[in-house]
Amino acid sequence: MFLKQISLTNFRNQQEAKFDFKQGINVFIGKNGQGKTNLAEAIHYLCFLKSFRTSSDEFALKKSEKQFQLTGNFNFKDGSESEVILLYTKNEGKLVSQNHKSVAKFSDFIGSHPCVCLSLEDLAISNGSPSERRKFLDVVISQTSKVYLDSLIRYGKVIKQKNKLLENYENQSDLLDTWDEELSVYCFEIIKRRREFLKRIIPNLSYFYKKLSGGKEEVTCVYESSLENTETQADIFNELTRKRKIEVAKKTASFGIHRDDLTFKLNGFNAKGFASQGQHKTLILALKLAEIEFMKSEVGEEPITIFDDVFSELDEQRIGEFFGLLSKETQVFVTTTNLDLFEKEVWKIKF
Amino acid sequence: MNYQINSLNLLIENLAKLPGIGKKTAQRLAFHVLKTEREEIAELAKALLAVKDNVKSCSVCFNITENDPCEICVNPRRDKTIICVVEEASNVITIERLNEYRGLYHILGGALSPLNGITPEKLKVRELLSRLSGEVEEIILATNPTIEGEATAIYLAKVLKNIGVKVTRIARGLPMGGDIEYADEVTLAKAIANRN
Repeated sequence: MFLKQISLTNFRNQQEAKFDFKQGINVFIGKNGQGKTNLAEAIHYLCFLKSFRTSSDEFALKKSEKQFQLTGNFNFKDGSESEVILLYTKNEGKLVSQNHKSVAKFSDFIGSHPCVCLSLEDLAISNGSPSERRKFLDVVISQTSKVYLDSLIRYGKVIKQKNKLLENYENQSDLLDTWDEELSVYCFEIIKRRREFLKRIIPNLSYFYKKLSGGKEEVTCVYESSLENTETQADIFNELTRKRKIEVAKKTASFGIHRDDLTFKLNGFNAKGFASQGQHKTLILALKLAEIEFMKSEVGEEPITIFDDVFSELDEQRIGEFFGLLSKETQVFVTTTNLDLFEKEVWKIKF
Repeated sequence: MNYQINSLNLLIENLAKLPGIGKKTAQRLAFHVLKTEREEIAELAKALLAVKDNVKSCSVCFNITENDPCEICVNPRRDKTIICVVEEASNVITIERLNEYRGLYHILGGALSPLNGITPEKLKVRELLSRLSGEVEEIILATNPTIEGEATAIYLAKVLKNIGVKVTRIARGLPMGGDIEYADEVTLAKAIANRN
């Protein structure tokens, strides 16, 4: 899949703008504060119906305007086309249509325009808090599994109910049983798919890391569940019951996929705390390459890829190696202040 | 604009309190009322009050009714060995429209939700249990497939298990007459996983 054209109205600093893109590498070049990242953000919006920078759509609205609109024209491998229009108004929120049909449930849209995005904040996947790593898992797997996304949404709602129950808990263990039983249904679906995903990407992660670093370090990744036994739904329920005392004491749901984590290991050592800044960056780049491969094989379509300001500290050779590992068919959007870093044949959009 | 007509505004405000009705729709409805003949509006007002005055809940199943017990509970042709448990009275109307189900109902009056303060005591659970002596052989749990409806079904299944009555949950799956191509993907995935 690739994005052929995008139009923006009242989006961030753009009043009215239209850009044509090419398959392959598209570089947004310009000084800081010109709007390169805004354009990357607009592309992200059309794939995920939300920003990668803010959780409030209002921030993306041009100052003193009432609404913004984004229109993207996508081409798929089989020749079909998709026009996605996202209209945000202050009072009514977001309205989305695809090929002139309104999208009622946004979760149905997720994954229909697969996208892999890497911004500076994503470097925290390997050295930041566990929530960054869960977000990484959720964004990828939600695009490839509707059951995953549905389970995730339901899981979040059950956790809210359970927390409320724990807040005012007075020995209603039958009620806690009820919510834990429902929780274990979604927990099981999610853990199963997270583990499958890791199993699938680890060989590629290791391969890409070696290619990028030119070294021999082995990279692996381990899923660290807050529950010890998660083979079946019944196991999860029993674990939750076993740990109930702690949850009741803490008055909050403390076990389950919302507390799980990943550990990246370099030659057996935990990357967090052990790896250098350079190693972290290489690890994340390798992870994103593995993510692209995973998406390709799951969706059967090249995802769109966005790299926002992540190459600034890398040398030319490393960047060359990175793009050499991407397939020619993959559409890439890169924002940078330094065009010298890129080969001459890229498609340039100047700011 | 400061142009205001008090009685019209009052009507708009009250209409806008109704579920699913926003300010604009309320205004359109109010102007429709203005244009309509007086008798017709009097009929509407009468109907609104009659619903409030005459409709009560059945003391057995808690369905809405004008006579207590309700027509379904007293109907000798209904199968008294099965009770279908639903969240709201509106669910009964939907199921009755099918003309397929011949058993009785029990309306819980909602679903479990700690966030909204809905505990089993606030639902008609005790009343359901008190109906289980004698003839009843099966309880169908027909709560909504929302997380609250599912929790309510799980809870009831646990409570009813101790009593020894047969408990079933309505099946989820593909809509009949629907093309697989257009089916909701989560439903389709579940239908395949739970195939029989």
